[in-house]
Amino acid sequence: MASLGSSRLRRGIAGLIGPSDGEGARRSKERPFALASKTLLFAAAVGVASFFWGGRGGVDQATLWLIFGMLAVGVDVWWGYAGLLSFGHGVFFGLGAFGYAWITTGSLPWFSFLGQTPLAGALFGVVAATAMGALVAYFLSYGRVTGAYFCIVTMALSFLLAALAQGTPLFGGFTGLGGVPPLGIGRFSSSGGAAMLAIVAVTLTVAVYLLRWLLNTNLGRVIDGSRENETRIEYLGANVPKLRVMMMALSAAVSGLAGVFFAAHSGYVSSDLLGMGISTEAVIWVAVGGRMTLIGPVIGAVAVRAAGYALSGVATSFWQLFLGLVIVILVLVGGNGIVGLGRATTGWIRGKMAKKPAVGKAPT
Amino acid sequence: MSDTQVILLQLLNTLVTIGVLVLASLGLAIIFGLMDVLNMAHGEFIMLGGYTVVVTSTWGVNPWVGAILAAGVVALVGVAVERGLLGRLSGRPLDALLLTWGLALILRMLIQVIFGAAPRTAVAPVVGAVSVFGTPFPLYKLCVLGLTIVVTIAVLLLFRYPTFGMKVRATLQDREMAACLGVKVRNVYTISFAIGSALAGFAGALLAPFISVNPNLGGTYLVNGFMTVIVGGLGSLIGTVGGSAVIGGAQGAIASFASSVYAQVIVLAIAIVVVRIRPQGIFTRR
Repeated sequence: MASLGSSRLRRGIAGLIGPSDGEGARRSKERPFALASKTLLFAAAVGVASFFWGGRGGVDQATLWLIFGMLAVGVDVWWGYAGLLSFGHGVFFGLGAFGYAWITTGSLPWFSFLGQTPLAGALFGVVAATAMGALVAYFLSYGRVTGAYFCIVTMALSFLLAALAQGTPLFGGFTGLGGVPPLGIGRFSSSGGAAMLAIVAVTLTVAVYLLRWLLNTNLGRVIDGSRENETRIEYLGANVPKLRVMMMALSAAVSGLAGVFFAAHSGYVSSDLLGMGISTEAVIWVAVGGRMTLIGPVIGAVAVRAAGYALSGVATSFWQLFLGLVIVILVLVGGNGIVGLGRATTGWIRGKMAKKPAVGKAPT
Repeated sequence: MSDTQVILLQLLNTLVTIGVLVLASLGLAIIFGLMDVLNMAHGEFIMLGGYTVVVTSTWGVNPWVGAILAAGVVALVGVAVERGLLGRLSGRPLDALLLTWGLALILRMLIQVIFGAAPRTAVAPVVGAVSVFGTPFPLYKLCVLGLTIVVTIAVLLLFRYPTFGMKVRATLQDREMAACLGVKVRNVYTISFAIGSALAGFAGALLAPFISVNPNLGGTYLVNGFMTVIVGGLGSLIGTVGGSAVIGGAQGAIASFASSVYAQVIVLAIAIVVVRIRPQGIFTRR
């Protein structure tokens, strides 16, 4: 119990959980390369479509949506795979963004030895977010905080940290910090446009590939088990709190990286990035796209944000109304978002073609 | 003013803060404790109560009557939500949480469309100050404190003694068995939700003169309610009062030299650390 278990233990547990073939396993063990290719294709399609629709400004918008998609992937790692709903991922997103902004603008004297390069800023942002995630998860996981309690604590954390940041000069108070430099190495810097879109899209693809790969290993099977039946998986010898700390660190790292990209892309960070607004909206993106799919959250974020962008021409104030309606309808209708719908449709078509009833149901 | 008077005034203000916290989170705790539904729209229910009293007072209705009306209006909203939406989601607490949160966004926006984003003010039903041991103190604040105590005790008694309270506790312990014994479980849930909502509406009406009534005021009260629930635990209404006392006390202690946000952050940090040391402690039910 001292570690996450030996590889033999993980293999043993994975074997006990169930056969690794069959329809359900095939679906949940999607091949990393296939999923990553789809992600890259989707990101590229969004980029091209936005270029023809809005030129360079359109590409900048699409980049922002893909950055939000990355945050949603971080939320999916925690909500989808670890199985606990967090309303506080804005904290990690915001820390990533502020970490990058602090280092690149040189506002943290203690860390001035890192220099002011974008790379150091990105590293600092991701490390800060990951550390925060691990810290919070350490206390809450070993404290056995689950379900609605977990939502409450993370939401309160997000709200209070944003409120605290609003009154703190380091966070720029009400106005935020401007003049954050774009990403770049040496003489090369990418100030928006296609280059930034490409960086975000490729990073997102790599992240999806690595996450899918990890979740397909025996460790991933143990994670599945900890979500489906915490007690049983503990009897089999797994250390669930430790697993959760690892998952949250991973989830916070992805969210923090999204925050870094946000700061570099928009050149501006404010306390809103830590707050409840973005934390809760990220949950909507995942719900709209589909939980436990990794690509779904990206599709969800782009779909919701694009719809919001189209609606903003009508009336900005209807944005929240729209979000609220989306959530209520999604919950009442059930299912697993866009990806769930897509899978159900392809399953139905396959069933028709094979002249037998469609097998399986959408993962819940 | 002498030192004792300053301390006394500080103490009274802290008591009022605690009272406001109890009033604002009691409904949340009732609904969560009995139905396992974390009502994310609770802050918006408080907001609706505030708007009811603002609107009725422009019609010339007495604010006390307005407060009762606010409780009634929000209770009706609660019944509609429970019967129409939440009833379909029994046994799916996370879905219920998401749904009420979507509802919160919708309510916020509807109110903003109807009344505009600009804050409204409500007039306190009683003005003036009374002398408490020689210190002048706003009479309305004392009224709110007194009403909070009365309402809290009434709610505690309601769930303890009458047949209704017995049915609620039976449903809480064993839903199937209670249903077998003839308790109309659906009705128990609906009435409990209505009571929780009514408390939110009443709280909003009483708080309206203290605050600027605007469509976005719900968030603060929701987080306040969460904080009392985090500290005080669930399932017991006494816990809510205890949690409010801790949060309100911490705010009162720190208020003279820092903003109340610091007090809340410190309390949250302590709660998160304590839960690691004592997992069975403050967070777990019973």
